[in-house]
Amino acid sequence: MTNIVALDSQQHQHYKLSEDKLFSHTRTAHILPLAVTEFVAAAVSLPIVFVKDSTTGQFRACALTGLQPGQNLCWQESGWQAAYIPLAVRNYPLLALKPEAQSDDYIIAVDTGSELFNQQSGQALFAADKGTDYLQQRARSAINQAHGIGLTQQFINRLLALELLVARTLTLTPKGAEPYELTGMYGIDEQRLAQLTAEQWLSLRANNDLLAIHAVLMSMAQLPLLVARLA
Amino acid sequence: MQTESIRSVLVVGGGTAGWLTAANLAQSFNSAAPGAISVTLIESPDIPTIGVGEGTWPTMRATLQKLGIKEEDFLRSCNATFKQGTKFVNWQHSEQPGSYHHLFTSVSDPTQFNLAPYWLQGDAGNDRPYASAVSAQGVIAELGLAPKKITNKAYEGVLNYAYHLDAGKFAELLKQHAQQKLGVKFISANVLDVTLAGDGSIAAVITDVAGTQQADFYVDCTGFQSLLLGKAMGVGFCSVADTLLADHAVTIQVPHASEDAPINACTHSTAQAAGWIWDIGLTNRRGVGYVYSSNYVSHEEAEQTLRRYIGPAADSLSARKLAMQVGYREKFWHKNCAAVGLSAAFVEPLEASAIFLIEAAANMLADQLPALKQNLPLAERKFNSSFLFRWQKTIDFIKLHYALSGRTEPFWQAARGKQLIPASLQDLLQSWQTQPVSAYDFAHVYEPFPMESYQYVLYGMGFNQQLADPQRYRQHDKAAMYFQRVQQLTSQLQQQLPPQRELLAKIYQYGFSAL
Ligand SMILES: Cc1cc2nc3c(=O)[nH]c(=O)nc-3n(C[C@H](O)[C@H](O)[C@H](O)COP(=O)(O)OP(=O)(O)OC[C@H]3O[C@@H](n4cnc5c(N)ncnc54)[C@H](O)[C@@H]3O)c2cc1C
Repeated sequence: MTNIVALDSQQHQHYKLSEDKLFSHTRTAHILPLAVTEFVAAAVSLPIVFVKDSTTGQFRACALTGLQPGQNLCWQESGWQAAYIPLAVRNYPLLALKPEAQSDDYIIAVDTGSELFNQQSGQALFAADKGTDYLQQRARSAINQAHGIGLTQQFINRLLALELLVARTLTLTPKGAEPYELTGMYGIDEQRLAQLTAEQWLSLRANNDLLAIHAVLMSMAQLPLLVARLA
Repeated sequence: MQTESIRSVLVVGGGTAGWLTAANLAQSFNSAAPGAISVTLIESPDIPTIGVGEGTWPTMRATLQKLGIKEEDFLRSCNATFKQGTKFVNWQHSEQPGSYHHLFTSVSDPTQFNLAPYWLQGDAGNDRPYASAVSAQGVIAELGLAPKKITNKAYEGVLNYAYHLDAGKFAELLKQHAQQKLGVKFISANVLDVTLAGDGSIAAVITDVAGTQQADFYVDCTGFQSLLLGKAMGVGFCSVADTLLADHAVTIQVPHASEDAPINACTHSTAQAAGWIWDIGLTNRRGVGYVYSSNYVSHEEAEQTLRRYIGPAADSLSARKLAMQVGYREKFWHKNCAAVGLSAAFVEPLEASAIFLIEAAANMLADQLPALKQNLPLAERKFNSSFLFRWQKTIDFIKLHYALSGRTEPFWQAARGKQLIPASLQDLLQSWQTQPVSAYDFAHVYEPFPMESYQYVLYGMGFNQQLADPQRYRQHDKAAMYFQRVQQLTSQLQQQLPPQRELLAKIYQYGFSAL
């Protein structure tokens, strides 16, 4: 069970973080959050899609790793299989959160449901009431990711304003089973992109969105490779 | 003069009818653009709107979308909630309590595959009410769940839905939107007089503070007064008071006891000795009213009945009494003037038909208002025959609820008296005793109430239909599949759909996505 709790130097003074190079916590994740700052690196090994968050209805960017809920085709017993490992996966079980939407600061939280967070093995998080260097370094990475997610939200809002997102349904036909549809995913509307006015195009350039947009489009080439992993 | 074009429209009256019509026309004519047909609305700063009319039909979603209003803005500013049909309580018997649902969603469109003959043959199980055999929506509504999730698009539902809304706030929203976004010009003034030209068409309206106003075409939205079409032009009124007996309403607005009090997900309509009580849940309050016939109950008694229905919460609240003129104008469009809203027609608000017929009239007007004056007579004929049909069918449908009741009070006995039932409805009822309701009973494209509505009411009211030839309905497997699907959907949707308030809170925070 996921249980996100703010890290506290008192309450968690004896806790440690161990690392799992296999990233086993992703074994059942068919989508994993991705920040726009990761798109270029991710696009060469994972399809990038947009999905609606089920509790807020807001769009999020994700790497698609499976073709149905509960399935991660990029993970095997031997560990993570794709060339790119999303930041969120690497940072787990830590994450950075803003206490309020407006605030500039982050607090560092942990999924206490993760076995990686424990009192027995791994690197110490606190020493003499202060975060260890190890924690500092992990926290920086989590903040980086949170910052990236914020930028991603702004990026998505610009896509929405220009009506550049479009629903994508993937029809899959597993061997020896009924065909089914993977719905709820959105991609970049290439046609619409081609129809943008010069002014709209320049607004994308000014925000440095063009690279990210093309990364998403190019990442679609990873879909057949993902399907091929089914075999 | 006959080849002159129509370049300006003046809407008189700023209630739900006036603002919906003005907004629709301005949107359709692109009135915000220079050189387009102008749409002006005059509203009296002194004469209040009727202030009721808070239940709508699913058509409202298309209307709001057409006007370019965001669903979240509408929901927030009108204290609106999702309406998934109507629950009729105690309509069948006076002594024995009971209820049924008239819903907006059915698992199979009955005009394509009619499940009723199979339900009648017991294929859905013997005690299953019709509504819960053919739709998951009744259970969802009873649980107070919303018809959609936060991940659905604006105006898109998992189940079909309409709204409950605050009429005053709705007119205010439309007023702002129509002026700011759609180019409607607004004049706040009282119309004192209406002058006619030699041919009997309207020449001008004379106001107290805005002088004389002229237009090529006028829309009368002045409410029950019918200032232009009725008073000035003398178009007569066909009363249907002998068919639909209720002639008054008394209403009370009841604030919710707490901010998180649950909200009914459908209109409740509870039969009383001389009429029925509506109960509509908004986010901040309920709107409750007793529609009654003053021939069968005194005004005082009616108000007492309403207060008893509400309970102690009513003690400190004031009630408002309204007289209702039931019937329709002999014509809805005459020369250069059309009436929309209460000025055109009104029947008791049992099925929330008024606002949806306002939407329909505004749509038809937007489409049919001719570019040239010479084509007015043809447009007038089409509009009049269309709306005469729609109102007569609406009257039939309302009457159906009474015709099938077995309640014993004098009001109810009188209300189902055979001589009061329109012949068109009697014919249908006669045929439905031995054969199912058919798509061919509703052959007109502008039928106001669809076949499924009739079925929900008929079977909900326990209409005794004995199929003369059940052999004709042999697709039992197909029917069984649908009935099973309803059961599955009913349990799935209970898991998936959020309570109304929970969804509304999320919508206020995040809004709906446009895609
Ligand atoms: C008890 C009751 C319950 C109802 N419930 C429902 C329901 O649940 N669902 C539904 O769809 N409908 C319902 N209705 C009907 C619905 O309320 C009306 O159809 C709707 O509100 C439209 O009203 P209107 O705009 O035509 O008239 P009004 O609201 O009366 O507006 C008339 C307008 O004309 C203006 N005006 C009048 N005279 C002048 C003048 N001389 N100069 C300038 N302006 C003038 C007024 O200022 C006002 O703006 C109900 C009606 C009643 C009586």
